[in-house]
Amino acid sequence: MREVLEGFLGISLDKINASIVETVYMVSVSLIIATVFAFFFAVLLAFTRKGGIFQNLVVYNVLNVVINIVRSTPFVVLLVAVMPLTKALIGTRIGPTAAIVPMTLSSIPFMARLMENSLLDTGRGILEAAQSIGATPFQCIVYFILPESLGSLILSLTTGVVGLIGSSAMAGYVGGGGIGALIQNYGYSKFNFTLMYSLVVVLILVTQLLQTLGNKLAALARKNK
Amino acid sequence: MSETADEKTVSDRGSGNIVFQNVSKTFRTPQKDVEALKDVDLTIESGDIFGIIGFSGAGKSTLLRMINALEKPSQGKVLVDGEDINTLSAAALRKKRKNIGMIFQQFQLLESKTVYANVALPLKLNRVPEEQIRRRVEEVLEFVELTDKKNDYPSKLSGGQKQRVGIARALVSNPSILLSDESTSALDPKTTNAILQLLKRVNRELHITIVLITHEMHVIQSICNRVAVMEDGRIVEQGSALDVFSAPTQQITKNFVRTVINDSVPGLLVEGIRRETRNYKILRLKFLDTETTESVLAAVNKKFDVETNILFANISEIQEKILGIIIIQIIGSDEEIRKGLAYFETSRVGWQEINLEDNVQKKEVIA
Repeated sequence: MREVLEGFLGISLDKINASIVETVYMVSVSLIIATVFAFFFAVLLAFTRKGGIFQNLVVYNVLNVVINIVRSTPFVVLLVAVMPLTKALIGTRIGPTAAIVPMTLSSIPFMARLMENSLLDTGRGILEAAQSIGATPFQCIVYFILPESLGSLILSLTTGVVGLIGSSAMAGYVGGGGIGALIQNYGYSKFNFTLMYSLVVVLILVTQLLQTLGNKLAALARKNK
Repeated sequence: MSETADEKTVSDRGSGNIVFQNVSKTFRTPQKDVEALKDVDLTIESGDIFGIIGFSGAGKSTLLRMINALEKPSQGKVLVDGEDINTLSAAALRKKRKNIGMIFQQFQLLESKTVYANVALPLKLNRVPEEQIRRRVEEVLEFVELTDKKNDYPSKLSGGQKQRVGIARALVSNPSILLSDESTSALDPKTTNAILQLLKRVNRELHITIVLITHEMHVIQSICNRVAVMEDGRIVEQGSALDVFSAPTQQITKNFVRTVINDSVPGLLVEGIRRETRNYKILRLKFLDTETTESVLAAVNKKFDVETNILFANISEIQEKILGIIIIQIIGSDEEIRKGLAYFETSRVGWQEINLEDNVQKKEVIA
């Protein structure tokens, strides 16, 4: 069985397994770090805007512009541009750990925007109800907006993970490791299209799986099927 | 020891009276300034069910939101139990708001929480001990007749049930004032009446002052003892519901009253009257909780040389009093009609001469 598969793909299964582990490592670490920062910025964006419960236009405008700058920088450019930072933080420019830096950086503003929208979706009405009850601004967020937007936040998170898988593949092209590197080094470069398309199929399946999981969790959080 | 609903003293709770002093509100937008409220003076007494009626954009929603300072006036003062609500510190305002419940047209419940958790939330925010919360929530759910739904999520409930949860959430911290923002406008007529009856119980049994805004005169007729009519940011007419219903002075008020007491005369009858060659007057009679209507009319016919034709009659109940509106044609000499009018006065029946053309059913005029 193993021989048949290796013969078909033209590469040892150990290499494939190792690359999968690398991808999972890059995506999950980036996801955790990016989620923490993105959520923090999303809360700032949603509540410091005009009419928000912590209205602060200086904070809002600065954050808004910075996020737009990072978001409009193409990921391939970002990959190269942050290399000095990567070197300083990780000690090397290549490998899966090094790839986490640009992946996280590009994911933060993207996910911050998505989560900002999730938080804003909850709407003015529920906030008014919270204020009429005499809730503090902090209580408004924790007891009203967060539980109500949890389903939507989970969907934003799912979109973020799928985006990270995409950028992990791209990071592989410039020495990042993982499935992306495998596709480039053993598939595309060596004209092994069987391997290349097989790995693409794997990526598609993983994406589908994550999206389905995200939808299920979101529905569970909403409880109003 | 934390302050809980049932431990509130009477003085803590406040009596629930609200005074607007010369309140104006201007919303500034880049295009133009919008005057939402203009020189509003209004007193809502403790124990009132005070209805504010107007079309959308009249300013009633802004007015209501000033009572719990969700909106702040550009000018003037809003006093709640004698306290200027806009001079309170943030913490004092939050404390005050716990004394002012609010319910909404779209209910504004947390979809992710059960009925019980929704109702318990105001107490939870106050860090009331769990056991006290449980007792109080069950008490309130029983009052709104939702005990059997306490573990359901709002998405499983009907509109009327959702509004009952909203009312329970507003009542749980034992307020002295309840603000109702078009709370029945999203409900069907039958459910609307059930919710209105519940609000009446809230007022009577729990001694809570209710301020409601609506665009339906039916709501005012059903439960309000006092009413203010708003148009274009001003209060154009106010008084007891009975007075406003029986003798509206402004055109907008007359139109609103007409939506529940349609005192227009069928066109066919008007045709007949136009052909009448004898001397006559058209009268609008107002019977308030007095003698039966027929006996007064019969007596007028018998005692004086007049003939009366009923063109319109409506009997309705307002503030638990009977209000009868009858439009009659009274035929006879000026002298006999004058005697008849004097008799109406001694029988405590209000009368007013009207121009029939104002009261013709519009459809017939066009035809």
